[in-house]
Amino acid sequence: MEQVFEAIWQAITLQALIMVSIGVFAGITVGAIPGLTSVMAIAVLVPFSFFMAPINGIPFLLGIHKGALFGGSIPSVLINTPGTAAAAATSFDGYPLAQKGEAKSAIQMALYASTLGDTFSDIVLIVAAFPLAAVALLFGPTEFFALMVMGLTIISAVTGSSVLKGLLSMLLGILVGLIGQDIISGAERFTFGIGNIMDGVGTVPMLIGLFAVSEVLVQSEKKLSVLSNPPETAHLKGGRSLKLKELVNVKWTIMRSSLIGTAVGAIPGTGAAIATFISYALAKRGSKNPEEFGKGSYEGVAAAEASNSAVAGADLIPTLAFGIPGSASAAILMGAFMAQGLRPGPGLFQEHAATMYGIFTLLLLGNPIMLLQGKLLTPLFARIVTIRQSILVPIILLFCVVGGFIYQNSIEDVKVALVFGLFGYALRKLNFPLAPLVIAYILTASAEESMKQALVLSDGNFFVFLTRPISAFFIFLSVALLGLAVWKRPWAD
Amino acid sequence: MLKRGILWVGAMAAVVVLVAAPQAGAAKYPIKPIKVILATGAGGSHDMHCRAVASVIHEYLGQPFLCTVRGGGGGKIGMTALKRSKPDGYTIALGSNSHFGIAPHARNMGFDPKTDFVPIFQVNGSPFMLVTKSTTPWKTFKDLIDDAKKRPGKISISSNGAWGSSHLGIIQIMRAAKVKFKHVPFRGGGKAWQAMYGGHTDLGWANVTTGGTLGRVKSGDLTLIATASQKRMPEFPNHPTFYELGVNYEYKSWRVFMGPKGIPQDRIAILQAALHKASKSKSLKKLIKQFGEKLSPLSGPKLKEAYLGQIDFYGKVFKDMNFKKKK
Repeated sequence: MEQVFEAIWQAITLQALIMVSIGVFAGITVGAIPGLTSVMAIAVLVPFSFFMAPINGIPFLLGIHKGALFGGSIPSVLINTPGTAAAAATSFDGYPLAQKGEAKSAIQMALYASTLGDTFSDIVLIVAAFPLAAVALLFGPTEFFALMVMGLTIISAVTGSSVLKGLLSMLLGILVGLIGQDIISGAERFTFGIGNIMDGVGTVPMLIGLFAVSEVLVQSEKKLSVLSNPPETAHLKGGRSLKLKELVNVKWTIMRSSLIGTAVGAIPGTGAAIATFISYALAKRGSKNPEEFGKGSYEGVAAAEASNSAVAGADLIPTLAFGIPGSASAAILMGAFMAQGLRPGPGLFQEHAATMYGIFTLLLLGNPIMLLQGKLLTPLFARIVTIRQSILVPIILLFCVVGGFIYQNSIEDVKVALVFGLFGYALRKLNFPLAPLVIAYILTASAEESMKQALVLSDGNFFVFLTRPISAFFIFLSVALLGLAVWKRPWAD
Repeated sequence: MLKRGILWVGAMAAVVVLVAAPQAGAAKYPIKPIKVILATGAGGSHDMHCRAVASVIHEYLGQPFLCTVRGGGGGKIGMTALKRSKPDGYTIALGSNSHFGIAPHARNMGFDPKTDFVPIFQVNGSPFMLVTKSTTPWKTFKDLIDDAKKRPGKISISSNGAWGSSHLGIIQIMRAAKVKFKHVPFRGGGKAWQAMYGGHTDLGWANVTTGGTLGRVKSGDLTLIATASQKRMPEFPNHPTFYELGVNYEYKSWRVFMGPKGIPQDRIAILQAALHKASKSKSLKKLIKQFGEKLSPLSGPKLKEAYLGQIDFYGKVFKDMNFKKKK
């Protein structure tokens, strides 16, 4: 025990803290720029860590991982452009808040929820990595499918005023989600021979198009005189600060979302998006003011952000315990660990106890560092909403094009973004909610894949989803959630 | 006095530049960074290897490697980008066997690996292995086949995708041993391995690094059924190859620097020389060792022969299956 404290004490050097700070700052910046992902940033910066001491290099990369998950909330709130699938739910409420002139407090809510969610999952990682990773391995195709079905039930919570339009939007999302190679036969579906969509429509260009490009088109309808004036909410200068009471009010939401984010994040291959959607849906169900969701609910922002940041620590659980990376970022982080001779597996904590506890200490310290940086940066970011639309809108369009391009260094993805921009614009004009489409699109690919794999394994027996306990639990929960939705809100248009 | 001194130095410098410039202009390569396309995803083993090589190559080449991830389309996007690039030695790729060896036989990839590319330098290759959890009843290939004959279509094997490297292995085993397995494709080898390790499928494929397979076989956590290598792997001298078991199958996760056809031979030679030197560097050796791999540098006619050999090998596998290539 004494040795552990000794190791922790030695880990907290000024140099290490500076590296974490630089990492967090880089992460927030990367997350805040639509199109740039933490995966890319970590991949590019990994070689620098090769030549640093493990205690400096790895916390630096972990800082990026952390920072980016919070950073993604910034464009979601300010310009309705989620940089990642996980941040999509943040924009459901964050953007309406920004439009009301409460951008600053919305980002602050995202910051506090992110930090708390991240801290929670870091602690779970340190305390219970091995038992949790063993549970995560119980998730096979059957369980994945049931989990995705549960994710899909959230759609009932975001259909907006017209259930019919919500459902149609969902079907369109499923259609888009089915584009690409079929997992079992390898046959291409709806790709028209276009290379870039052979593996499915890219999430980033699709989100950029659907949200940001369509927003640009909506704005461009306005008269120049309107666009050239400062926005109505400009005098608020980004708005007020979040009150402590507002944060205390959502403590249970943050707690629950952190728990869901950590639990789902620990299952390799699920990703932050599904955890976030489930948390959002449950937050709405459990809320005293569910009618505010989608129109600017702080609770909604908190639910989404706590959950997607809780994945930061959690996806390292299977990575370090079994060498199975929980996400693309975790895969690169695993490479960085290995390059330092820190081989994932049960031996890791025995052979390298001092180094690992040092790294974990810095991982935890990254949270207050993120909080501090976020506090300082938020007022600056929030001022973006005071910029005149005539200047802001072209800049957003520029970001859309650049973001679509750098996603895979491909001009084809810019076309994807623009096509989805037109598509999103048409849907907005017809008053279709976009949220069901996005959620259905993100979940469909994994749901279909796992369903087919499960059916191959069960020789085509559909009852497998009900006879396996974990799967049955999720299916039951989904039915209950849907039942509750029907019961609480009659099918009135 | 000082002024004249400066003038003199200036004049001398000009002379030196004038004399040296034409020579430099004609032969100097590289004068700018070299872009390395990765047709695989960010963070995969190709990505890590590329970045490891890039971390030292500038010492031997005078210019850095810029590893550029262009995944998607099962390698189509990155590899066609390589085909379209200018053959001036400033764009190369760290190629994967599944992209240039297998995929072109399965579907239209937009390139012909034999005529559009040249292999430059082999970094290394790690053979595939068929593994199962030690809790399953099979200890040897024979155990597995005997059981599969009793229960046709009941034993499941996960693969990294339809018509990909491990699917072909499954097909070859089924043909050679006249048995039937349940093939469960996943997107990527990591997910397929995870399904095997979680006990959701009975068997799976791995190379030494996937999920720490090397250590797990040695500790008895996993059972190694056979290796898809040409000869027995030095790490596992007591485990047979598929060839020994009568199954015509090999696959290695191969990392080969390659370029578009038409790169001047002298430039290829400069790249090869630098890469050979780099692979002797202690820090690169150490990095690759930490990944659980080792370097096996190879270039020239031997590499070319191996490259063409792999393409032909999979071509024959597909032909034997009477596979109809998708347009």
